Amino acid sequence: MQEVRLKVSPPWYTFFSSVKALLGNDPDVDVIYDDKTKLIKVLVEKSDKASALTTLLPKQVAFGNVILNIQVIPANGAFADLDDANEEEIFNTAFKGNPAYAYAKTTGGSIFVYPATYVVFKNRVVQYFNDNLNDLHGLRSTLYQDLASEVFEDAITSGRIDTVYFCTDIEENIGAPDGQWP
Amino acid sequence: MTEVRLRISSPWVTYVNKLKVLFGQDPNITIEYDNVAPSVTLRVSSATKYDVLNLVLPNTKTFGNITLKINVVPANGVNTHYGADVTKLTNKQKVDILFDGNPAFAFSHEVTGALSNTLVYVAFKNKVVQFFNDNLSDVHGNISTLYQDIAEDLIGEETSGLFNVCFCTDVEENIGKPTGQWP
Repeated sequence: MQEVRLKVSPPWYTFFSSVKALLGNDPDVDVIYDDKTKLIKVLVEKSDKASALTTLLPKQVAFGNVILNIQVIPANGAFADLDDANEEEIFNTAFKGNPAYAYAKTTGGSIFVYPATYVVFKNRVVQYFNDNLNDLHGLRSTLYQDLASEVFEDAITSGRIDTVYFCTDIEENIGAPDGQWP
Repeated sequence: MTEVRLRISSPWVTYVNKLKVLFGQDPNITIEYDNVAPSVTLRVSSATKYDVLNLVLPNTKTFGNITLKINVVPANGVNTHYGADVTKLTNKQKVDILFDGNPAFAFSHEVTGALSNTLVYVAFKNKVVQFFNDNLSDVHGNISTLYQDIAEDLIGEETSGLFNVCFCTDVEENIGKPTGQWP
């Protein structure tokens, strides 16, 4: 009988892959995973970007009885003060220079309309290897907006950021240019 | 005071939009939506494609107390090709007929699964799919998604009976493997 070996990535490894796909292309950021300690290290060149990412990323994520820890480490060891920054400024700082990011735009903010921030990612299919048995290459195919919803879920549910929508920039052929608020 | 007008697409309109995205680009299929009934009619100019589409799509789709009628009609009076025998086609034959000539489709591939079952991978083009849907969570009101997710919604195994069919997305060349080919 033919022996079949099945490999499936554990969910905490998928989470690491999601963080890496979202942040790993930023030249200022390095994302490293240690399987023994279940620790993701996010090494950041700039102290303001490290502070913004600390606001956005969870410190721990529980997958059943496995706890994944996430640690943001600024290169110079110091975090900048971003206490007064609003959501748009936090995302602009966290994603400055990241090729996944298009722009952020806050609407409303008057006494009648509650402010909402749209965080817009590039119009691109994101693929990474994930031992996905439903895919013919074992990949996971998704969008940056969905990765951001997963990775930053804790920041939204815990109230560290408020009323943020993750979405995808349009293609030119839809009728409006890339990278612009309509 | 500024007047704010909120419009939200009904879920059955979203369903029709998904049908248009997945099948509407196919030159053999035209899609018409009647808001009053409500109903959607897919006119199919190929008899073989009509047979398969009629098999995999439900006749109705219920959203709360609203029922959307889904009519699959052979255009120009073209009759069925396979008749009842359409159910005897393999899943690979069905998806190949269903998506033949559709620009959303890349290729399909049949493999023997780990449990000696037959799996069919249906790979769609590597493209972000966007359509207007009055989506308040999006800057432009769009829904952004992938063809694989729309296919799973519309013709997943629960509705279509296409068991052991996996919908996925073709790779980009920069991943190291060419597009449109089985690895």
